[in-house]
Amino acid sequence: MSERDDRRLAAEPPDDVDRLFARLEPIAPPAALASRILARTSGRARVRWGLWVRLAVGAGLVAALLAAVSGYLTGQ
Amino acid sequence: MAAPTLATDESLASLFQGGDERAFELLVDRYYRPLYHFAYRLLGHAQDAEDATQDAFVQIYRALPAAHLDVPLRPWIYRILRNRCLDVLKRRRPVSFADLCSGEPDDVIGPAAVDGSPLPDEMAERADLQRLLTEAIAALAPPYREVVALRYTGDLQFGEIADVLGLPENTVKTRFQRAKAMLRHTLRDLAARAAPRSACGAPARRRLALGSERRRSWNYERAR
Repeated sequence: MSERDDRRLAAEPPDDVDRLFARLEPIAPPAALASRILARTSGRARVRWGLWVRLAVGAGLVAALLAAVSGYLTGQ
Repeated sequence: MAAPTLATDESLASLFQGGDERAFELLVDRYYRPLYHFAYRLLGHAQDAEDATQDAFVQIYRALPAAHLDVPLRPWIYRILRNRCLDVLKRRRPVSFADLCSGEPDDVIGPAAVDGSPLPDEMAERADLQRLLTEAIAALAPPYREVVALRYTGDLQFGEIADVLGLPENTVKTRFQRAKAMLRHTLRDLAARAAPRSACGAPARRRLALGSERRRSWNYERAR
Protein backbone atom coordinates (compact mmCIF):
# COMPACT_ATOMS: atom_id res chain seq x y z
CA MET A 1 0.00 0.00 0.00
CA SER A 2 1.38 3.38 -0.92
CA GLU A 3 1.82 6.20 1.58
CA ARG A 4 -0.99 8.04 -0.12
CA ASP A 5 -3.36 5.08 0.37
CA ASP A 6 -2.29 4.86 3.99
CA ARG A 7 -2.96 8.54 4.62
CA ARG A 8 -6.33 8.23 2.89
CA LEU A 9 -7.37 5.25 5.07
CA ALA A 10 -6.21 6.96 8.26
CA ALA A 11 -8.01 10.20 7.48
CA GLU A 12 -11.28 8.74 6.19
CA PRO A 13 -14.35 9.94 8.08
CA PRO A 14 -16.93 7.34 9.18
CA ASP A 15 -18.94 6.10 6.21
CA ASP A 16 -22.42 4.51 6.04
CA VAL A 17 -21.09 1.09 7.10
CA ASP A 18 -19.30 2.62 10.11
CA ARG A 19 -22.46 4.50 11.10
CA LEU A 20 -24.57 1.37 10.77
CA PHE A 21 -22.20 -0.76 12.85
CA ALA A 22 -22.00 1.99 15.48
CA ARG A 23 -25.57 0.88 16.25
CA LEU A 24 -24.51 -2.70 16.82
CA GLU A 25 -25.71 -3.55 20.31
CA PRO A 26 -23.37 -5.40 22.67
CA ILE A 27 -24.27 -9.00 23.39
CA ALA A 28 -24.95 -9.28 27.11
CA PRO A 29 -22.84 -12.00 28.73
CA PRO A 30 -24.47 -14.62 30.96
CA ALA A 31 -25.29 -13.15 34.37
CA ALA A 32 -22.92 -15.46 36.22
CA LEU A 33 -19.94 -15.14 33.87
CA ALA A 34 -17.88 -12.80 36.09
CA SER A 35 -18.45 -14.93 39.19
CA ARG A 36 -17.55 -18.09 37.23
CA ILE A 37 -14.31 -16.49 36.08
CA LEU A 38 -13.46 -15.39 39.61
CA ALA A 39 -14.37 -18.81 40.98
CA ARG A 40 -11.92 -20.41 38.55
CA THR A 41 -9.12 -17.96 39.25
CA SER A 42 -9.58 -17.58 43.02
CA GLY A 43 -9.80 -21.37 43.17
CA ARG A 44 -6.29 -21.37 41.75
CA ALA A 45 -5.20 -18.84 44.38
CA ARG A 46 -6.63 -21.07 47.12
CA VAL A 47 -4.82 -24.06 45.66
CA ARG A 48 -1.58 -22.05 45.67
CA TRP A 49 -2.10 -20.95 49.29
CA GLY A 50 -3.06 -24.49 50.28
CA LEU A 51 0.19 -25.76 48.83
CA TRP A 52 2.24 -23.22 50.82
CA VAL A 53 0.36 -24.02 54.04
CA ARG A 54 0.96 -27.74 53.57
CA LEU A 55 4.65 -27.13 52.89
CA ALA A 56 4.95 -24.93 56.02
CA VAL A 57 3.21 -27.50 58.23
CA GLY A 58 5.42 -30.27 56.81
CA ALA A 59 8.58 -28.23 57.39
CA GLY A 60 7.46 -27.51 60.96
CA LEU A 61 6.87 -31.19 61.65
CA VAL A 62 10.28 -32.12 60.25
CA ALA A 63 11.94 -29.41 62.39
CA ALA A 64 10.12 -30.63 65.53
CA LEU A 65 11.13 -34.23 64.80
CA LEU A 66 14.77 -33.21 64.29
CA ALA A 67 14.72 -31.21 67.53
CA ALA A 68 13.25 -34.17 69.44
CA VAL A 69 15.80 -36.60 68.02
CA SER A 70 18.73 -34.28 68.64
CA GLY A 71 17.44 -33.58 72.18
CA TYR A 72 17.19 -37.29 72.88
CA LEU A 73 20.69 -37.94 71.55
CA THR A 74 22.11 -35.01 73.50
CA GLY A 75 20.43 -36.32 76.71
CA GLN A 76 22.10 -39.68 76.32
CA MET B 1 -5.40 2.83 46.45
CA ALA B 2 -7.22 5.93 45.16
CA ALA B 3 -10.32 5.42 43.04
CA PRO B 4 -9.35 1.93 41.88
CA THR B 5 -11.91 1.80 39.07
CA LEU B 6 -10.19 4.80 37.46
CA ALA B 7 -6.81 3.12 37.66
CA THR B 8 -5.20 2.19 34.37
CA ASP B 9 -5.03 -1.43 33.29
CA GLU B 10 -1.29 -1.35 33.80
CA SER B 11 -1.52 0.00 37.35
CA LEU B 12 -4.10 -2.67 38.23
CA ALA B 13 -1.81 -5.29 36.76
CA SER B 14 1.06 -3.88 38.80
CA LEU B 15 -1.02 -4.10 41.98
CA PHE B 16 -1.91 -7.70 41.10
CA GLN B 17 1.75 -8.48 40.59
CA GLY B 18 2.27 -7.15 44.11
CA GLY B 19 -0.22 -9.67 45.44
CA ASP B 20 -3.47 -7.66 45.37
CA GLU B 21 -6.12 -10.14 44.19
CA ARG B 22 -8.75 -7.38 44.23
CA ALA B 23 -6.91 -5.67 41.34
CA PHE B 24 -7.51 -8.75 39.20
CA GLU B 25 -11.20 -8.69 40.11
CA LEU B 26 -11.32 -5.09 38.87
CA LEU B 27 -9.70 -6.13 35.59
CA VAL B 28 -12.29 -8.90 35.21
CA ASP B 29 -15.08 -6.43 35.93
CA ARG B 30 -13.66 -4.02 33.35
CA TYR B 31 -13.13 -6.54 30.57
CA TYR B 32 -15.50 -9.48 30.80
CA ARG B 33 -18.34 -7.79 28.92
CA PRO B 34 -16.34 -6.48 25.91
CA LEU B 35 -14.28 -9.67 25.73
CA TYR B 36 -17.41 -11.82 25.72
CA HIS B 37 -18.92 -9.60 23.04
CA PHE B 38 -15.79 -9.91 20.90
CA ALA B 39 -15.70 -13.71 21.37
CA TYR B 40 -19.38 -13.98 20.50
CA ARG B 41 -18.93 -12.01 17.28
CA LEU B 42 -15.92 -14.11 16.32
CA LEU B 43 -17.43 -17.49 17.22
CA GLY B 44 -21.16 -16.84 16.73
CA HIS B 45 -22.06 -19.19 19.58
CA ALA B 46 -22.90 -18.18 23.16
CA GLN B 47 -21.49 -21.21 24.99
CA ASP B 48 -18.26 -21.20 22.99
CA ALA B 49 -17.89 -17.48 23.64
CA GLU B 50 -18.37 -17.99 27.37
CA ASP B 51 -15.86 -20.87 27.49
CA ALA B 52 -13.29 -18.91 25.49
CA THR B 53 -13.74 -15.86 27.73
CA GLN B 54 -13.32 -17.92 30.89
CA ASP B 55 -10.26 -19.73 29.52
CA ALA B 56 -8.72 -16.42 28.46
CA PHE B 57 -9.13 -14.95 31.95
CA VAL B 58 -7.59 -18.05 33.53
CA GLN B 59 -4.62 -17.69 31.17
CA ILE B 60 -4.39 -13.96 31.93
CA TYR B 61 -4.41 -14.77 35.65
CA ARG B 62 -1.54 -17.21 35.20
CA ALA B 63 0.52 -15.02 32.86
CA LEU B 64 -0.04 -11.61 34.44
CA PRO B 65 2.46 -12.02 37.32
CA ALA B 66 5.28 -12.30 34.76
CA ALA B 67 3.89 -9.84 32.21
CA HIS B 68 5.91 -6.78 31.18
CA LEU B 69 3.87 -3.70 31.98
CA ASP B 70 5.84 -1.29 29.83
CA VAL B 71 3.49 -2.05 26.90
CA PRO B 72 -0.28 -1.47 26.84
CA LEU B 73 -2.21 -4.30 28.44
CA ARG B 74 -5.39 -4.12 26.36
CA PRO B 75 -4.00 -5.58 23.10
CA TRP B 76 -2.29 -8.32 25.15
CA ILE B 77 -5.61 -9.24 26.77
CA TYR B 78 -7.42 -9.31 23.42
CA ARG B 79 -4.59 -11.33 21.88
CA ILE B 80 -5.02 -14.04 24.52
CA LEU B 81 -8.75 -14.22 23.90
CA ARG B 82 -8.29 -14.16 20.13
CA ASN B 83 -5.96 -17.16 20.39
CA ARG B 84 -8.53 -19.05 22.50
CA CYS B 85 -11.17 -18.26 19.87
CA LEU B 86 -8.91 -19.51 17.07
CA ASP B 87 -8.48 -22.76 19.03
CA VAL B 88 -12.26 -23.13 19.07
CA LEU B 89 -12.51 -22.44 15.35
CA LYS B 90 -9.76 -24.99 14.66
CA ARG B 91 -11.60 -27.61 16.71
CA ARG B 92 -14.80 -27.01 14.74
CA ARG B 93 -13.15 -27.82 11.44
CA PRO B 94 -9.63 -28.25 10.21
CA VAL B 95 -8.19 -24.80 9.62
CA SER B 96 -5.18 -24.57 7.37
CA PHE B 97 -2.68 -21.80 7.70
CA ALA B 98 -4.15 -20.31 4.55
CA ASP B 99 -7.49 -19.88 6.37
CA LEU B 100 -5.88 -17.42 8.69
CA CYS B 101 -4.46 -15.39 5.84
CA SER B 102 -6.61 -13.16 3.70
CA GLY B 103 -5.45 -14.80 0.48
CA GLU B 104 -4.80 -11.53 -1.30
CA PRO B 105 -1.73 -9.40 -0.81
CA ASP B 106 -2.71 -7.15 2.08
CA ASP B 107 -0.84 -4.17 0.73
CA VAL B 108 -3.04 -4.03 -2.36
CA ILE B 109 -6.55 -2.64 -2.25
CA GLY B 110 -8.51 -5.03 -4.44
CA PRO B 111 -11.62 -4.28 -6.49
CA ALA B 112 -13.91 -5.35 -3.61
CA ALA B 113 -12.46 -2.64 -1.41
CA VAL B 114 -13.37 0.17 -3.77
CA ASP B 115 -17.07 -0.74 -3.91
CA GLY B 116 -18.31 2.48 -2.37
CA SER B 117 -21.92 2.48 -3.49
CA PRO B 118 -23.99 3.50 -0.46
CA LEU B 119 -26.35 1.27 1.44
CA PRO B 120 -30.09 1.93 1.18
CA ASP B 121 -31.14 4.78 3.47
CA GLU B 122 -33.90 2.74 5.11
CA MET B 123 -31.39 0.12 6.29
CA ALA B 124 -30.74 1.94 9.59
CA GLU B 125 -34.47 2.05 10.36
CA ARG B 126 -35.11 -1.66 9.97
CA ALA B 127 -36.55 -3.48 12.96
CA ASP B 128 -34.29 -6.45 12.25
CA LEU B 129 -31.14 -4.33 11.99
CA GLN B 130 -29.33 -6.20 14.78
CA ARG B 131 -29.97 -9.54 13.08
CA LEU B 132 -28.73 -8.18 9.73
CA LEU B 133 -25.55 -6.80 11.29
CA THR B 134 -24.92 -10.06 13.14
CA GLU B 135 -25.42 -12.13 9.98
CA ALA B 136 -23.20 -9.81 7.95
CA ILE B 137 -20.33 -10.20 10.44
CA ALA B 138 -20.86 -13.96 10.64
CA ALA B 139 -20.67 -14.22 6.83
CA LEU B 140 -17.11 -12.84 6.81
CA ALA B 141 -14.17 -15.23 6.75
CA PRO B 142 -12.26 -15.31 10.08
CA PRO B 143 -9.37 -13.01 9.04
CA TYR B 144 -11.85 -10.27 8.17
CA ARG B 145 -14.31 -11.07 10.95
CA GLU B 146 -11.71 -10.64 13.65
CA VAL B 147 -10.62 -7.23 12.36
CA VAL B 148 -14.24 -6.07 12.16
CA ALA B 149 -15.05 -7.47 15.62
CA LEU B 150 -12.02 -5.81 17.20
CA ARG B 151 -12.84 -2.49 15.55
CA TYR B 152 -16.61 -2.41 16.02
CA THR B 153 -17.12 -4.36 19.25
CA GLY B 154 -13.79 -3.84 21.01
CA ASP B 155 -13.48 -0.26 19.76
CA LEU B 156 -9.74 -0.80 19.32
CA GLN B 157 -7.53 1.58 17.34
CA PHE B 158 -5.78 0.21 14.26
CA GLY B 159 -2.45 0.21 16.09
CA GLU B 160 -3.94 -1.89 18.89
CA ILE B 161 -5.55 -4.29 16.40
CA ALA B 162 -2.17 -4.66 14.72
CA ASP B 163 -0.69 -5.59 18.13
CA VAL B 164 -3.44 -8.12 18.77
CA LEU B 165 -3.05 -9.80 15.37
CA GLY B 166 0.72 -9.44 15.07
CA LEU B 167 0.35 -7.69 11.71
CA PRO B 168 1.61 -4.37 10.35
CA GLU B 169 -0.87 -1.55 10.93
CA ASN B 170 -1.19 -0.86 7.19
CA THR B 171 -2.18 -4.48 6.61
CA VAL B 172 -4.87 -4.17 9.26
CA LYS B 173 -6.24 -1.01 7.67
CA THR B 174 -6.33 -2.61 4.25
CA ARG B 175 -8.00 -5.73 5.59
CA PHE B 176 -10.57 -3.59 7.39
CA GLN B 177 -11.41 -1.67 4.21
CA ARG B 178 -11.83 -4.92 2.34
CA ALA B 179 -14.02 -6.31 5.12
CA LYS B 180 -16.20 -3.21 4.99
CA ALA B 181 -16.73 -3.67 1.27
CA MET B 182 -17.80 -7.26 1.94
CA LEU B 183 -20.11 -6.12 4.74
CA ARG B 184 -21.72 -3.55 2.44
CA HIS B 185 -22.21 -6.23 -0.20
CA THR B 186 -23.67 -8.75 2.27
CA LEU B 187 -25.97 -6.20 3.95
CA ARG B 188 -27.38 -5.14 0.61
CA ASP B 189 -27.86 -8.79 -0.23
CA LEU B 190 -29.56 -9.64 3.09
CA ALA B 191 -31.84 -6.62 2.82
CA ALA B 192 -32.83 -7.61 -0.71
CA ARG B 193 -33.51 -11.15 0.45
CA ALA B 194 -35.78 -9.96 3.28
CA ALA B 195 -37.58 -7.27 1.26
CA PRO B 196 -39.49 -9.44 -1.23
CA ARG B 197 -41.22 -11.40 1.54
CA SER B 198 -44.24 -9.18 1.18
CA ALA B 199 -43.96 -8.46 -2.52
CA CYS B 200 -42.73 -11.67 -4.15
CA GLY B 201 -43.65 -15.28 -4.04
CA ALA B 202 -41.55 -18.20 -2.84
CA PRO B 203 -39.71 -18.78 -6.15
CA ALA B 204 -38.36 -15.24 -6.19
CA ARG B 205 -37.26 -15.53 -2.57
CA ARG B 206 -35.50 -18.81 -3.32
CA ARG B 207 -33.62 -17.29 -6.27
CA LEU B 208 -32.42 -14.40 -4.10
CA ALA B 209 -31.41 -16.75 -1.32
CA LEU B 210 -29.42 -18.94 -3.69
CA GLY B 211 -27.65 -15.88 -5.06
CA SER B 212 -26.81 -14.80 -1.56
CA GLU B 213 -25.40 -18.20 -0.63
CA ARG B 214 -23.22 -18.17 -3.74
CA ARG B 215 -21.86 -14.74 -2.86
CA ARG B 216 -21.33 -15.77 0.73
CA SER B 217 -19.27 -18.76 -0.30
CA TRP B 218 -17.45 -16.51 -2.75
CA ASN B 219 -16.49 -14.30 0.17
CA TYR B 220 -15.23 -17.27 2.07
CA GLU B 221 -13.31 -18.75 -0.83
CA ARG B 222 -11.67 -15.40 -1.56
CA ALA B 223 -10.24 -15.43 1.93
CA ARG B 224 -8.55 -18.79 1.46
